[in-house]
Amino acid sequence: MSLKKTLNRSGQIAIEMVLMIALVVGFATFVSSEFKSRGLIAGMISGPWKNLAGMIQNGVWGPSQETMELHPNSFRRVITPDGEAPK
Amino acid sequence: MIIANERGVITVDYIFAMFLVAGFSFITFALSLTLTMTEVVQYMTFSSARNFYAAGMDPQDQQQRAFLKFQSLQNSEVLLSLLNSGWFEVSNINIESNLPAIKPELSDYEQAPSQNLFHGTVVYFTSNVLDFTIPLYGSTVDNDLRGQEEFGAWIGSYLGREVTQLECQNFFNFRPQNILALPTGGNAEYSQAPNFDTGLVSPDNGC
Repeated sequence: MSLKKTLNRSGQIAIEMVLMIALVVGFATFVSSEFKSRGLIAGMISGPWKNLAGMIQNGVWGPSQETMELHPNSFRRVITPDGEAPK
Repeated sequence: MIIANERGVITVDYIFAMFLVAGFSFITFALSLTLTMTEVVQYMTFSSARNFYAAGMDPQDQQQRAFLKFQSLQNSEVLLSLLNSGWFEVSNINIESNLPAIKPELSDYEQAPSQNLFHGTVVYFTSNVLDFTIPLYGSTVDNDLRGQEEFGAWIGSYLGREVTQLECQNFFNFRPQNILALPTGGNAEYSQAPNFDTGLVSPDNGC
């Protein structure tokens, strides 16, 4: 009787573990596919890079092509101790 | 037996989490390295633009000295391995007066040669290290946009350009004729002078 009980428990645990693994794998697959379909990793790099490129190229946050006219060299230079207010 | 089964679950969980943590760590690493290299390349163009700025014998001389400075920095022991690693690309340097008129990619900058706005050096910097794929999570570049977008930016230093000795001499060689050609009227009756043969032209021009 005692042996039979142990065997039954083993079977139950095995089934539970299979279910848990299926749950974990399913969750991992779901999260993975969501990351890919929504482009979350790409959004973390490609999106901000556009603004970062503008800052690198023109010193202004924004896409580099759109911020070219705001490059500091385009400011009208005047002789004043206060300088010119940033645009 | 229970412990052995739990290990199996943890392994799946661990693999999933490990890729995520490693991926985020690499993103941080790649971004930090990219920003560092951006600063380095910025300095390379700045240093080169300083050589372009300084007066020389003629404009070609200024360009040549700027190019040699950039080349010496590019070939330095520290940077050469990084720039040749494939992680970063730096284009050939452009050393010009009024770059927007010469480079179509920069034509949106204000083109005003007389105001000395965009005279200097510029390179195109590309960070290939930012383009990678994290297993299970996807790529840092949208597949739809692959090949169309890249992690690049123009990095330039526009310090201007001093007049060279040749340009200065040419200017002064024609200065008497230009003075004679001034319009009459007011207090500037220079054109009334017959010619400059009656006097000695002694320009203190510092050429």
